[in-house]
Amino acid sequence: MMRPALNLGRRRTELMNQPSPIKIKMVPTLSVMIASLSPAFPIVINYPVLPPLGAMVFLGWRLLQRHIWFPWSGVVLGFFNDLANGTPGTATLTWPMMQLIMDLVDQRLPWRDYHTDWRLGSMLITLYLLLALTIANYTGGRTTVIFIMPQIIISILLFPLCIRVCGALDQWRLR
Amino acid sequence: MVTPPASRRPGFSRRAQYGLFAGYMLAISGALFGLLMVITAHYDPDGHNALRGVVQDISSPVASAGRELIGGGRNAYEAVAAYIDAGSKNRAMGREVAADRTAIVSGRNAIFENSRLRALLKMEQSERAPVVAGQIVSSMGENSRTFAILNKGHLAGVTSGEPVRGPDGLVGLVVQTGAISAQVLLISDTGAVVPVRRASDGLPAFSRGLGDGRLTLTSAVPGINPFKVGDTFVTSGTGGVYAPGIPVAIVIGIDHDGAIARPFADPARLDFALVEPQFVTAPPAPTEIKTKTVHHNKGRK
Repeated sequence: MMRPALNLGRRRTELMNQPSPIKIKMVPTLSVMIASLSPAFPIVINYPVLPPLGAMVFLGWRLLQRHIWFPWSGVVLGFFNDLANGTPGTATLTWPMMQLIMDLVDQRLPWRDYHTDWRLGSMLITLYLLLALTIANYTGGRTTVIFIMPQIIISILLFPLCIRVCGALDQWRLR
Repeated sequence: MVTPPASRRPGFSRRAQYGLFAGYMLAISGALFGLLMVITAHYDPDGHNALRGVVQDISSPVASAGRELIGGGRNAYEAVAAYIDAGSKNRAMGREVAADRTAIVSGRNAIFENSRLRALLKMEQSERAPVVAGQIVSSMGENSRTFAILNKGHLAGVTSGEPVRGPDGLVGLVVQTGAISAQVLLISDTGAVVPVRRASDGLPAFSRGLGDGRLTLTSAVPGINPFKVGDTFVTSGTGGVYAPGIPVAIVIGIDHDGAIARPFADPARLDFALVEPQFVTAPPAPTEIKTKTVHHNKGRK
């Protein structure tokens, strides 16, 4: 009988390979930054329909892993999101607030399933978009809530997919 | 499954507790910093532009490269679509030709009248050279403000406040510049107001973005709603910034207090965008003001 020498070899390296700490630390941060860079997508839309991908990925990670972010991570990542999306401090203000809300939610609902996460994420993203609209209108816009309804609906429908992507990235970074 | 830990309680270590406390303090002061940025943006919209340009310069080349690919794909799609609705398009074009014939006559008349008036005013209508030709490569579709990104920045001579036009009509206004990219506030933004006039009779109006890519037109003249479906509007040049005569929009619906219009320039299919120098109207001639000279003599009454 042939010994599966190659196979054994691969298995050994798998056992010996620890995921690099840099990868573990940087994957969540980089994924949020890349998601924030939606203006790098070569599409020109003159009405707000794109879901706030940066905020959704940020929140997706937080729902999956409760200690994924430092308390101040929302400030730094939010600031980057603001710079990329031309919003005046919206994410810098709201992302740490989302983190604080999630900390409170964790105390109330330590057990959560897929549906709870989706509902929670939908509520937070809706709140986020409404607050972002308020700030955009305060700083010069005049958009009414009706015109961001499609954006809110798209964001809610895409949220499970976003958590899936975060989950896949999570598995990949810990491999 | 293990019960998840209730919170971030770091145990009895003072050091860890202080560390966590400092983290939260940082988070809260960061959020307050965000609030401060919002408030400064309210009073000074162009305030933190220098910062913003940096990230934009990173993303715009990526978008430029991707734009090339998408452009090719869209052309193929449009070629196929054109064949499918050729019949109805033919009929529509027939009607359009008939309508255009009358428009050409009135246009010729306008040209004649224009040259006469210009001669009358002895106005030198020099063709204003555009600052630079660029391309709208992407937009900030998450934001309820409609900003687009132009792939030319201050290295190419673009500065804030310059109008941008495409081959079809007015696109928007440069509001912020990075080194190799600039942010353009589209005319469909709810904060963008453009003084316009009706191309046919010069009826003055204002255009403002509605929030979904269309525009609302408000008449500058009080009275009954003067708009009709199909009216075309061009920039009036009133108040400077936008040079007069750039096509802006066509009326597609009447509102209770104005009209809904569709912009001529569709930023999604812009091949090129011209950044034009800011239009400056000549200041009104100074009027002579006669004032009584008053002598102030201190200490004497």
